[in-house]
Amino acid sequence: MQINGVVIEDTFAEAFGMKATRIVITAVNRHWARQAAETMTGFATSVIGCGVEAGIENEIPETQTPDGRPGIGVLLFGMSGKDLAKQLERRTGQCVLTCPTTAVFAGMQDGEQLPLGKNLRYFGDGYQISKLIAGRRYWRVPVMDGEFLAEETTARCGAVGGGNFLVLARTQEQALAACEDAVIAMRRLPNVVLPFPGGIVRSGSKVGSRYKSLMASTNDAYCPTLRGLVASRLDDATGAALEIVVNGLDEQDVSTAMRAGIRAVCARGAEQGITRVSAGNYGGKLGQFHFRLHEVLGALT
Amino acid sequence: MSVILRQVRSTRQRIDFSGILPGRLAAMNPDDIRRIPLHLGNHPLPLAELFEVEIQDGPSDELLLLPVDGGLDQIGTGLENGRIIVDGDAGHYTGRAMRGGIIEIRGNAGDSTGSGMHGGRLSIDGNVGARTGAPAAGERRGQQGGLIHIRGNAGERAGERMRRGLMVIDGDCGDLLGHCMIAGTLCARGRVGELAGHGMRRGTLLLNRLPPALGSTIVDNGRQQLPFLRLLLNDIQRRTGGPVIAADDRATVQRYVGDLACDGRGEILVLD
Repeated sequence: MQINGVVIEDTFAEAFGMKATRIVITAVNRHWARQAAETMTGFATSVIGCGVEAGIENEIPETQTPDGRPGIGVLLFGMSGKDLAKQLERRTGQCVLTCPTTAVFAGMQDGEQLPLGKNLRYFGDGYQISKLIAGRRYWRVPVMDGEFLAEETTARCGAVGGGNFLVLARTQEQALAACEDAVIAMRRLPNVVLPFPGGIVRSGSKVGSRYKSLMASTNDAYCPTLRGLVASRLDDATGAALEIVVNGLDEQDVSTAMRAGIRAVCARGAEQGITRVSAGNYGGKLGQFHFRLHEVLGALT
Repeated sequence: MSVILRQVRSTRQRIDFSGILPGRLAAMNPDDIRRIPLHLGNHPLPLAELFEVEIQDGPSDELLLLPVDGGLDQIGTGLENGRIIVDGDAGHYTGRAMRGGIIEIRGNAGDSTGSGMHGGRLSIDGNVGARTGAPAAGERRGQQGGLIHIRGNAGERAGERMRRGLMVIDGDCGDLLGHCMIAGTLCARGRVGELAGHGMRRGTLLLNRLPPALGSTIVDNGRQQLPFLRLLLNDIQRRTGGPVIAADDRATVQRYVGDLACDGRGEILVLD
């Protein structure tokens, strides 16, 4: 398959079942809401090293937030409900509670509940106040700028993590520019986050390593500087590859986001140096979800 | 089929109306309803001696009650579901310990309205007597859930020993509002008598204006900006309709805390 001169490889992205939750962070203005959200999701690129994968889902206008202040929606993904709960509480406590003027609310209501303010309330040292409003419990924790308001729990749901595609281009600049376009297109969509820096990964990995202590190592087949040394997947015209990883609340969300991203990449076309779009997988034996690029793009062709 | 009970004469003694619930009536035929025993004091008599029974099209869990005066006590006691409409005045202990459903009183109600209420919605178009939502004698807790909405005025000790839920008084209220309140939210839109919040341990009194006198163990906490207030005001507006206490939720509100003679974690918020 080719789109605008870009080869779409007949392969698939392999993704995994995860647990996810959504929270809404509000603050006195959008700057401080985003500050808290970025801090919370800053070191949350991969469950392997960070315990959780997280990102900003969207900006929420004042009219749609519980307390009528500007808000940011954040999605967090963990490999288990327990891992997710631990990271949610730790990150809310260290990154949102500490951030001036913020409040935090559940972004999901139905399903198994994860503690949000339930345990953080003890920071109030006995001066915390509970309020039951419209059937939901909130905690008001006294802090130095007033009160930190946190909803007691937020729900979690099943999710899909690790949807991906690789963008191969003649130069690093061309690959990056195309990926930036893809990120912009994908971040417009609901229910997905791109957990890596700026939404883009340059250090794609393979399973295993020659070093016993590492469970993953560099994806040598796509490293241009290893061409000639390993069984490279890069042709002579390709100078760089970048990956976009997407996590979503369900299979359809991930598929839709991948389609939007690949479409944006292909819009640049071969004329702007994009040579190929591929995807990362582990032979199909590890992940429950397979996103075949040709099927994902089915609507386009 | 909903049931209409039209009172045909007044009585010198008060009538215990507990047990006359829409769910129970829905399962009975009109003759059985007419034979339900009522009590005037300790004197039993069939319902038909005091009420005309009509069945009309409508929701099966609805009871329309047309009293001649406010002599019917304990209307809707223990209500769990369904709807009772009182087209007139209700007596004492209306909605006593109700757990769900709706009671609408289109007139006034007596003392201890909503006493020990656990859930549901109780609205009164007129005024209520003293001790609205308060516990019955020997009980430790008053209102423990649900909504009591009084569109008129309330007597003294409204919200006494309230534990949970929401009470909204659109009009004025007497002394000792929220007396010994344990928790919950009590919103008074009109004038408030003396010693509001006296003995309160936790909970929120939301007032439109500063009471004339607060107890010496209710202390000034200064003006505060409270993010939860927007949520609370929205919820009150959604559940009671009409204008909420006029307040810019981004502005600061005057806050008092207490009662320091008790747990001291209650608050009085004045939104003037």
